[in-house]
Amino acid sequence: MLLSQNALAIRPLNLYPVVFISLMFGILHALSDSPDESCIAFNMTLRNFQSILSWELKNRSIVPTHYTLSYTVMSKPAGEMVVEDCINITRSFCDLTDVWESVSETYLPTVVGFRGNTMLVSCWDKVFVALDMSLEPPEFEIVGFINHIDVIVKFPPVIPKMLVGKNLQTYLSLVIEEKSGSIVNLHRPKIDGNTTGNFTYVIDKLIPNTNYCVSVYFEPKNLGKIHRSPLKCTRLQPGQESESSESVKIGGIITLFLIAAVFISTIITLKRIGYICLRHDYPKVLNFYKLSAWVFPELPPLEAVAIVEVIHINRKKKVWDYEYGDESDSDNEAVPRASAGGYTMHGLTGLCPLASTSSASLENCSNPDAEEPDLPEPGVESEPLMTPGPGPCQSECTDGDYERRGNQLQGHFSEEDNSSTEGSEDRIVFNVDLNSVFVRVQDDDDAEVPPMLSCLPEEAVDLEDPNEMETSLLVASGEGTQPPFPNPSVECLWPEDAPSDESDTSESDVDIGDGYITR
Amino acid sequence: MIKKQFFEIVLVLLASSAIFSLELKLVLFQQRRVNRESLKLLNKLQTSSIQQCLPHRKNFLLPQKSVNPHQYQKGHALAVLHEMLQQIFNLFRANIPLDGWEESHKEKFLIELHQQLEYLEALIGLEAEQKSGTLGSENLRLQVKMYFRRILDYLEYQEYSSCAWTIVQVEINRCLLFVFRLTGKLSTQGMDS
Repeated sequence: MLLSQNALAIRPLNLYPVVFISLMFGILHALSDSPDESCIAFNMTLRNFQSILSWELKNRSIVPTHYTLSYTVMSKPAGEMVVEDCINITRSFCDLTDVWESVSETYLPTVVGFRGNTMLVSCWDKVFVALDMSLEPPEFEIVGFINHIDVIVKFPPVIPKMLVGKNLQTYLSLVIEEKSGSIVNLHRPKIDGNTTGNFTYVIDKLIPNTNYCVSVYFEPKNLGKIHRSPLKCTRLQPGQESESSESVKIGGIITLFLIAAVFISTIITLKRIGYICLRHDYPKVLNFYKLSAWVFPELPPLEAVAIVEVIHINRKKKVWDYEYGDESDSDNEAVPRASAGGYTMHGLTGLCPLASTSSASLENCSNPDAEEPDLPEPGVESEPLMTPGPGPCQSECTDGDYERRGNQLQGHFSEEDNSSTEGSEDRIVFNVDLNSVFVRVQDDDDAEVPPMLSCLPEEAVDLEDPNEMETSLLVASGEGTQPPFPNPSVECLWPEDAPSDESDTSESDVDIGDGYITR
Repeated sequence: MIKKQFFEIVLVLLASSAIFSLELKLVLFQQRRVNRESLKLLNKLQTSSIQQCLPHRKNFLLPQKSVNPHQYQKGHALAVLHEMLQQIFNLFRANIPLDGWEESHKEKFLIELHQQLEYLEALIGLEAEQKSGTLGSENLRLQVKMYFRRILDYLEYQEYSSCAWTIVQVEINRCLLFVFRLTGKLSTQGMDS
């Protein structure tokens, strides 16, 4: 009985040490063995380009007053390394910038919590930097202008070793988000490990007087979450932009007004000068349609002329011996060769000096001793000697004068060409100013009538000179004549038939009969 | 005749370079996606307490310095990239039981690697037509092969234990991040060229 009672008493007493030892063993084991990996949660962040490792004990009932951080790596056998700046710290985070240098490394940090000198907890966990490090947005400022915003991102003066060089752009990229209403634009400025200090990015081509919000963040290229920064908003300046636009509008209106005024004044001016008119016929000078004619003006139409064949008559110069006998030079004269128009040079030349020289010739008619008239140069082809249209044979000079003139001319021409008048191929064409002569209006009925010419200007003839009159009479009678016009049908009124008092060749004496103008 | 052939060769080179440039951009875009997926899938592998495996750590001497992505040409970078992915694919394709890794995750991981390897092989074939630089590429490939030989030898020595796989998983993570840097380097070169 006693043994059974003693056995019952002994059993609880034996259990107490066992339990106590077990408990103690467990506690010691818990303390001495590797810390429980699940008692702590690590959080690694890149904050302002600083690697910050923060932690939080899962058992919130345990609140240490001090912490000590140590770590090791998994890529190689290495011992525990204590972070010198994180020994007996009261904060629950530690700056590991330039301590942890590899992004691809797997680290095993250990945190030991103390209360006083008593160690309360020791926890560890693995941290794979590339996957577990979160990227906090950088600090930045924005400055709004009229149509653009300057975004100033603050970079540290020194980039962490783990992001230096090309590593930064390999693992992350900077993103600037611009929002206006429901429209979101993303900007990705290029950065690298050499980007330090204040980095300014300009968002341009914005609408003035509009509200814009900007957010900046880092985007991991591997895996990981994006942490956007709080939005910073600004309203762009409206004043200068709208004023400038209004001034542009006003300037445009004024410009248009000036253009319209110039256009209208031009129209009015053109109308006044006659370019613009209701009539269709406007001055020829303003006829621009015939541009070719304007550029290359047409030559004035040639006057209807007939070509006279010049027959050179070579004869001696006869000196007038003041005899009024028969001075017919018919023997010495070669038969004047008739031209196609029925005119010859003989006599006709005396009749038909140029207008410019007609007066001189006429003067020489009365003065046979006068020098040769100022005849046109044979080389002057610009004023060829031509017989114009028909004209009367009548002239104010006598035939003698004609002869003399003809002699002079012939002599003049003979100088240049001594060819025979017979069959001479040389032809001299001369122009006559019809304004100074009387011409014959050639009718169809009088087509056979050879054109005649009276090329003696009226004012140059002095018919009252009796010498001239006599000479002409004598010539007319003596020659009986060989009129300068071979056509016998020519009717001429010789001066004897006309009263001498009426020497003035007035128009009243002009009688147009059969196409001839007679006096 | 020679001129005609020369002209044809020049045309082929120009066309192939253009095609290669476009192909490279597509391949690199795909590579970045494969890199992210591979890392995610690999880290779903449940391993034993890493604290227990600290005594089993080993330095496999990843040839980072000798195969620094910033030091060699585009063709060599492609060769190194291809060799690394090929070795990773071979490592996990072997019928080695991996406790703690779901079969679906493993299959997806291998499929991603296989598709990317096909893209790279087509690209490398096109690159090889343009220029010959096989000697330098072979040397780099050999270094990568030796590195993975060391990993396989370690697994065999550790009898493919849980801790061994834990250590290998950590090492393959480093490889994939090396591939990340290589891809970034090729992208930069592709944009510059």
